[in-house]
Amino acid sequence: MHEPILELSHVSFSYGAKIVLDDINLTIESGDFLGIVGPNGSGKSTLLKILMGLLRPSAGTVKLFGIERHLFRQWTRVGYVAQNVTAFNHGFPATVEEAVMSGLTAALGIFKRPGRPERQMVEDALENAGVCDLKTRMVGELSGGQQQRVFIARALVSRPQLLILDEPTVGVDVDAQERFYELLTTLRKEQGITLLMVSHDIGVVTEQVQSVACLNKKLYFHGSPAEFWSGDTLSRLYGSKARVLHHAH
Amino acid sequence: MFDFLAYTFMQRAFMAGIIAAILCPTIGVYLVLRRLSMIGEMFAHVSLAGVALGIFTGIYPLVSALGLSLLAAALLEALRRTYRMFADLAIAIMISAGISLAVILISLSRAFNADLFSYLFGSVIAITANDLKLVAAVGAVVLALVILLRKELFYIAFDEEAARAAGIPVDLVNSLFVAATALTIAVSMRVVGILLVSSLITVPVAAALQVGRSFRQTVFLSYVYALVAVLSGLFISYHADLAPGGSIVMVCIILFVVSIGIRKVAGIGGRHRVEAEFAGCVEG
Ligand SMILES: Nc1ncnc2c1ncn2[C@@H]1O[C@H](COP(=O)(O)OP(=O)(O)OP(=O)(O)O)[C@@H](O)[C@H]1O
Ligand SMILES: [Mg+2]
Repeated sequence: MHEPILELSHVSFSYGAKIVLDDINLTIESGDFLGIVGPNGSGKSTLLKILMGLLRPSAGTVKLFGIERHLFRQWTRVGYVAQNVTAFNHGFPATVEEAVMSGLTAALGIFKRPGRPERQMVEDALENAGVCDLKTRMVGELSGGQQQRVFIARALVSRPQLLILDEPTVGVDVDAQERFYELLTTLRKEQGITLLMVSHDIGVVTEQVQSVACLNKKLYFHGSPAEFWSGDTLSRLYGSKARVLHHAH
Repeated sequence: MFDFLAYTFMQRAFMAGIIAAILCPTIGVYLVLRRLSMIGEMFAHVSLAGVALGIFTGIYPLVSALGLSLLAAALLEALRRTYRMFADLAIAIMISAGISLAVILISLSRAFNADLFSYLFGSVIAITANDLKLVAAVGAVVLALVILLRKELFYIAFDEEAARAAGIPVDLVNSLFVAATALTIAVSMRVVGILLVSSLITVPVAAALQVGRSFRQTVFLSYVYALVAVLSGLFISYHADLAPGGSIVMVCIILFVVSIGIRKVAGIGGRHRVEAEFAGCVEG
């Protein structure tokens, strides 16, 4: 059951001469909920982009579902919500239904058109993300938090086994955040989806996740939330101001 | 009033016009939504260079325009890949290259004549049977390609990074699309004219965007607008003895203004957005 879904070994990445990730080793097993934390510019989003095949690591290997990244083609098994996802062209005339349906593009392939089963999958994803009532609204006219959920629905629609989320709760109010974490728990427990989430909200994240990874160019820590709080990871990661940061949340 | 349809040249003009009215918004909706409208302008200038090349060398101008446009499409893709962050600069450079080449070739062949003007401003009488055949064949290819790729094009236009992450061959689709754009402009310019063809690509879509409440609706409306503009524009141009490009695009502009009016009256857009945000707060 607990086969590794993601394996990174000795992964490094640099933008030009600037080293962003340095020798990262990390394994995520099926059913895990991993929270990645780290300061701004610590390479969290970069790491996710490497996992999604959007960037090529300068060294090391990445395996998804046991397959090397450059041979991996089953992208419908992975759902991804990028950090800046709500920064799309808000004048774009897409309804929520159309936007979520686009998440099935790759699954359908070039020649197939969406039919009844696909519409049902969209319906299910909207239901899961709690945005059924917004179906015919235009995405650009929704609030930031509503948009965030629409993009989660789009990531869920192809029924992925691994869901990768980059700061999904930014701009989502406390109440909606709670519902959002409930949704993640349901997805994990009932559908066995493995979750990987980047967040700055260390306090909340450590309450929700099963394991924490701390990143700042290097991987500083990977273990359970309890181990995280008992060690000195926080101050090693953020420096002496770490306490202040924690209290702020 | 419609007796002009008895003339074969008018029949050809209408057929070519209808093809252009279908192709231009088909391409235009993705160009506009990706904020790449200038690509239309670029291929128009390149087409002019192609036509000038045809006049200069004696090649059939529509063919040289098609060929040069495809070459420019390949060049643009290469430039865009090299200067990823400066896509607009790549387009600006190609526009300059196209227009300067055109000016040189036109001067060399001393071709400031009625033939050239028919390409610049569009023409109802100059469209030959061969023109129409070529326009129809190329049009069919472009339409088939875009219909085949419309899910992918929608996804890429809406969220290119997500499309890439989902495993869509974004670069390949983009290259095919740019080629389809080049072909669309080269075949549409015969009726609308080189100077105005990019307007038929953008203005009906811009008008449809004012009132469309979904992607489907927007696409549908842009076809309606483009067809209305081309048909009535050709009608006006015949009766008032005008070059068709001007009247077609003027009708587009009128439709655009009317659409803005409808939007204002129906209260679509701006106000709704604020309400939605407010509702989000209360709900949340
Ligand atoms: N396109 C780019 N070109 C050059 N450098 C970049 C680029 N994108 C990111 N970087 C650099 O890479 C580093 C890591 O960026 P990344 O976006 O992964 O950080 P992050 O941990 O996600 O930060 P945040 O918490 O602000 O989202 C930063 O120092 C950033 O300046
Ligand atoms: Mg980030």
